[in-house]
Amino acid sequence: MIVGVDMAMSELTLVLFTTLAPSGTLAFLLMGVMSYIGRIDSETRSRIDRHLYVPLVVALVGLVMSATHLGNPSNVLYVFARTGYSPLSNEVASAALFLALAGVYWLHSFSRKPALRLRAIWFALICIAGIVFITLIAFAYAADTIVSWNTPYVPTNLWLSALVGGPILALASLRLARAEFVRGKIARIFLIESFIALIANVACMSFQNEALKEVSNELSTAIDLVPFYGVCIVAFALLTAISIAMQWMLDVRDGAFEGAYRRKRMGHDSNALHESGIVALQEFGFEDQEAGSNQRRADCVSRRAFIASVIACILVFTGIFLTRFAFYSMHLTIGLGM
Amino acid sequence: MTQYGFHFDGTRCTGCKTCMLACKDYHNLSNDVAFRQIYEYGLGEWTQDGDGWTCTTSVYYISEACNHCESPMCFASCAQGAIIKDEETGLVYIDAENCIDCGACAEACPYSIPKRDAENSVYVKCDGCRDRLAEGKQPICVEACPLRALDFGDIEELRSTYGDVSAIAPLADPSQTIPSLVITEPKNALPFDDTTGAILNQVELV
Repeated sequence: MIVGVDMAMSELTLVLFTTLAPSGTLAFLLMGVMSYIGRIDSETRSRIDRHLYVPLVVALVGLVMSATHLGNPSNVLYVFARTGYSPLSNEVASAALFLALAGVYWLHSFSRKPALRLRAIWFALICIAGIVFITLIAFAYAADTIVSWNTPYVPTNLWLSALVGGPILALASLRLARAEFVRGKIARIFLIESFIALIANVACMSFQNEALKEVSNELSTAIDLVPFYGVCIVAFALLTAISIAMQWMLDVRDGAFEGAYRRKRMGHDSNALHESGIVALQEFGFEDQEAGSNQRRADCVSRRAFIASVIACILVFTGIFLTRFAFYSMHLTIGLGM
Repeated sequence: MTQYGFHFDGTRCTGCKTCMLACKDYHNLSNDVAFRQIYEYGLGEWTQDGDGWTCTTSVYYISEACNHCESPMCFASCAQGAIIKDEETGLVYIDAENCIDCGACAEACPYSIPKRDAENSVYVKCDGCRDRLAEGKQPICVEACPLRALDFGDIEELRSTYGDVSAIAPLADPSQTIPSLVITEPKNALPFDDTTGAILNQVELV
């Protein structure tokens, strides 16, 4: 009988899927929304749209991962035949819908004459499909006979994990897209949202861990299948907290950097921009050894910031991965299954 | 539709596992697959009481295969429509052609019935020996039992003959899937929601 940790090991690809897909989907929505707020120029809008491939690929990697645990993927198209009846079919159908809509939206960003009104309607549809997709992943495990999964904690945890990971990934992607305007206020709203979701998620998982003591069948008690759940929750909390703190510090540094940049810029004409960039860079410890190299240095700064935000993503996804691993380990049915 | 099902007589079963082995032989099952398994359920202890000992132990066996439930969870959870509940017989079987090896059926079944056939990457389960039924024969487990503890047939007839107990410990709450199973309770049988006993042969189960 495949039990506990072995169960999670055998479903490792699903652990990855439920780690990446919900956060990737939400990050797509959050990043996409950024192209609609305020008055951003068409160039920035198009940059955001083109870089939507980052969260899309994250969600897609999750989905492809989930397909690799199938021994007979050649039969996979039958999955649509049970849409509306089987939770798994619903999940896969909504995934296909979201990815198709999102993929076309991304392709549209390369259009020379973007249809802006159609684009907005299309994005609204993507938002609905994305939220439905995350919700259907959250409820895919609620079978009446699986006592340890069929609880309100499970869908709540999945949604909260998406709310924790989504903003972090969205920020990293926006940084890659050089969407400067999100720095400062918007970035902090993202990070505070992620932090609140983190606290709620840790609370929810702690209650769930406590409740698992009462969940049992003739073979085992759920808590005995995941004695390490508490450790996973703590690790998730720490990794995510570090991740959020990293992003926050990056944003503070960005803010200070730009403040310095602007201060230097004031009173000069636009031709002095490059020079002021050098001065601003010098303030941040970069020595100006080569004339005209400020663009390269600025690239260096943003590359470092980007690497830091990638690390932040890796940390948060590692944390979510651990809690998802624990989730698959706790599988226990009424009667005779675990 | 006739709903077929099993009758298990707990007063006769000695836990010899002939049914299980006959099934494995007939269906050519590998070591880690069994369509029918025997559960040893027991409880109690020996306590010293002055010069003597008091014994409160009890044990009984259950031979358990697919119950071809009226509302099968495996069927409900299958995303592929690969699990079929036969309209004529009510038997539940897996169509290997449609199975994608995702394991949702095994996760949802409260009797732990669908098993993974690692060689062919599909899930497999008891089909009530559909081929034998078509020839007018009983399932191989029923014919193999040396104690005649198993019976198979129209579940309504089995219920009118043997009663309507469909769960004792360690089986699942029958209201979830409505198993086509009738049990003649063994001596000292405990209700399905019992928490005093335990499955004593866990290492033997696949």
